[in-house]
Parts: sequence; structure tokens; C-alpha cells
Amino acid sequence: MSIDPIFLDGSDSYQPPLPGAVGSVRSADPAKLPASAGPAAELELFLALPPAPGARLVGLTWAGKPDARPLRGGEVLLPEATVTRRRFESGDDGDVLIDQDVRVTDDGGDLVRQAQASWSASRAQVPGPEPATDEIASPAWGAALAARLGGDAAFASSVSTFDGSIGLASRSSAGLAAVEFRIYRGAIIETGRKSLDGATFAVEADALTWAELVTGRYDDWVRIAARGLFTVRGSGFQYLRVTKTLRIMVWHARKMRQEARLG
Amino acid sequence: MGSADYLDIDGRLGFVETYGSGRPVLCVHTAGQHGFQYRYAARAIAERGFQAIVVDLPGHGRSEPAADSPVSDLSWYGDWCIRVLRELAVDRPYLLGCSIGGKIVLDMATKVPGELSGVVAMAAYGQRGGKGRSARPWGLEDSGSPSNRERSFYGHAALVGRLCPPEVTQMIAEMHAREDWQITVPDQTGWGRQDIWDDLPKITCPTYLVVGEDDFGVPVARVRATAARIPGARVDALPGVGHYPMEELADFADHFERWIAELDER
Repeated sequence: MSIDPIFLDGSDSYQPPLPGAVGSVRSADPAKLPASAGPAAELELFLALPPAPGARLVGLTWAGKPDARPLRGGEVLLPEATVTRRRFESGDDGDVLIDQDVRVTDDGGDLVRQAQASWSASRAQVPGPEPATDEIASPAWGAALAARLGGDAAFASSVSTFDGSIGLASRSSAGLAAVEFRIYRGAIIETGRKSLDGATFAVEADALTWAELVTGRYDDWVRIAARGLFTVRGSGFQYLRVTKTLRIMVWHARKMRQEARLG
Repeated sequence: MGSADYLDIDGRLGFVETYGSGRPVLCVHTAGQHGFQYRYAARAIAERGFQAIVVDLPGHGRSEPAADSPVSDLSWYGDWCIRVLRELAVDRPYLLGCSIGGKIVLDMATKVPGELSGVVAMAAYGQRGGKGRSARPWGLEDSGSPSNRERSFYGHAALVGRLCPPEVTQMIAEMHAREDWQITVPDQTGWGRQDIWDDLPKITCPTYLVVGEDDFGVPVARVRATAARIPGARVDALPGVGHYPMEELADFADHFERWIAELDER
């Protein structure tokens, strides 16, 4: 086992996401709530940062938390939106479905509200496709990742005794992106949305978690796991058994994105 | 040059290394590890006029396991360390510990504050840790805990601070991954269970609590809350540092010397 700088920080060559790309973050101007703030005022905070000019809201998931503190009238809040997924419709003039994770913090920096929004935008108004990050955990993304893994002896060695399927899945307000890697004796023999016998185990997280993991300066797999942001479905034992394999897969996902970013 | 010896405590041999001949400092390691974590720091501390006394807790490194092993009570380790100091006839030592070692030296300070010159507890607090849960039984079964070495390697690498050079992080992770989970899991249980919250005001000796701001396992707020219950305790939050200051910081001895100087002012 070894630590490549990109495992931890990619400090020398790290390039942040381009504006509008998956992983990019935008902040709105601080917003002052009206004196009698109600749900409509809170809702407006989530809609303060459309990801492109003329973008149209097509979905919103606002999972309220019972322990969320009430917002105070006149309170100043800061909305911040991260692009977590982009789905380009076929054809050059098709629209683009853009998922956002919107976080609202108070003047003390504490997170007070969070929601996921989906927008439809004109293709002419958004940066061009970036296959390495647009749809993390989709079958197409998985196929590109598998092509890289196929040339990595460390990956092959790590799964030389594994016979099963590893699934990755990403939740957003637009639905679930999922891919499974069918593996036998060190080789990925098939990649697709679903393997014939289902995944031996699947690692699922929200789209924000995947976006930050793949595009962030640091590979925070362990910290993310420690915060309980991954859900493992299926065999937890096999999940632990291929710890190194998963780390290699994430390493390649980050490297694939980094190389695409640098052109 | 350091020296090493085995002490016979209750019929079990405990391994102790000593560097230098100045003011004594007992150095206590983290969960599942042993005295190697101070292999650079101990020499550097000795060069600054201290006598670094580095223990391998029972069952760790070159020390034999306790008669009642596995040990999942950090207070028991605290009593064992007090025994070591008395066997060696050490007069008014400083205590330096990290993680469970930090909790162990805090435990010792609640018991014998009048015998100590001061305490530096790193990556530790006085409340129950994590979820305070007991060991999951399958954690002690090889059949239930696959890929322990890999999980240890990556887990320890993640606990290192962002500013640590990659080659140092690599070395820390490689060295730590040699741990024996039959020892580590009970240590972690002890970390989770220990609760000396009510006893913290008994620590009347000068105390410094040190925490790395990148240590995702030890919230700075918990450390500050602990310090608030210890009369006169100070806190140093180190930016870019993780769970292992004595291994991450090339200039650790400089920090240590500063902490001690500030404690001595009291």
C-alpha cells in the first residue's frame, strides 16, 4: 500500500472545478429574512442560485430535520450551492438537467437548512460536457472507470480472490444513478446499471458526497465513512474485505477527473 | 543513546525505554501502538534537557499482555503507569500522552496530581468517546473483521493532518498498520467508555490540552470543554495537525518545550 499525493491532497497539481461544473460552488449575497419569516421565505433561499441564466426549477427535495432550529425574522443567512450532477439530453440543442445541493448557513457559519434542487437549463447557457464528473456512478461513468482499472495491476491484485459485483450509487433529487462492476478473478468482466445476480454490496451516498469526493482537493473517503455518509447495502463483510479495492477505485475516479480537468 | 529495560509488574514484563537524564517525562502511546511513536520525539525532548521515559503499555509492542488481558479500562492502564513511575523512583515527572495515552495521563492526574510537575494530554478529552459503545464482539474475531491491515493503514493515514508531508503520512500509516487488533479493539473500547468528567477538577497540577485541528476524531470543542473543568488548564489547537502531533511535527520538541515553559510559569 502506498500513498500517492492525489490520495490525500493533490496539492501540487490540484485544479478546482470550473464554474458550472460538478463540484463547483457558488455563494449568493447574504439574504435578510423578512420580519415574519415563513416556509415561503425559507424556500426562496433554496432557489437563490439558479445554475445557469434562464434555468427552470424542475425538482426540489427539502428533507426537513425535526431538530432544525426556527429561523428568526430579520436573520441574515448565506445560501451556497454546489453542482452535484449534470445530465445532457441527446442532441446538440437538448437541455441540461442540473442537480444542486443548497446549503444555508447563518452568520456564525452553522448550517441551518439544506435541500437538493434540480434545474433544466439551455445547453447554450452551461459549460460543455465533462464525462469524468457529470454523472458520477452512472453506467457510462462506470465504464470509463473500468477501462482505467483494467490496466492497473494493483486493482487486479486486490480483487484476485473476489467473485461478485461492486455497486456504486448516487442519490439526488433527480433520482438514483447506479453502476455495478462484475468482477471475477481480478478482472472486471462487465459494467452496467445492474449485474445479473445483483451487487454483492453497493456503496450509496448523496450526490454532494460523491461530487466532493471525486472533485475535492482531498480524498476524504475515510472521513466520509466516519461521518456515516455512506450506506452499504448487501454484504458488509465483503465491503470491508475489499477496502483497498474501493480506495483504488476512488483514486482512479479522482485521477480521471484531474486529467480531464487539465486537458 | 537511549537505554531499555523490562520491569516486572505483577509477574508480567513491561518494556520501558529511557532517553536523556534531565527532568523526567513519561510518554504514553496511542491505541494499538507502542513506544515507537516517540522514536524521534523522545530523542529530541532529551536533547532539550528532559529524560524521556517511553512505555509500551501491557500487550503492546514489547510488553507482555496483562494477566487479565484484553484490557479495555484506561484507568487500569493509568494505574499501571503509576506503578512504572514508582518502580523507577521517578520524582515529580511530567506526563505526555496521545489519544488513549492522553486520556490515560489525564486519569493519572486525577489520581496523583500532587506527585506531578505537569501534564500534556494530546488528542484527548474527559468525556466518553465516540458513541461510548462497548466492543462489538465480532471485532475480536478474525472471521468478522476482514482486511484489518488495510483498514488500519487507510484509517491512520486519514487521521494525519493536512499539512503533514505525504512521505511522513505514509510512514505513520505503515507503522501503525502493524497493530494487533486483539489489543486495538479493547483499547478503542476503553477510549469510548472512559468518563472522568466528574474527576477533572481534581487535576490541580499544571495541564496543557493539545489538539490537532484536522483531527476528525477529537473535536476541538470537546477538548476546550474538558479544559474548562481543569483549574488553570490551557489549550493549544494546532492548525494542519491531526491525531498524532509527536509523529507529524518535525519540530515537536520545540512545541513541547514551549508547553512545559508555559506550565512552569504557573
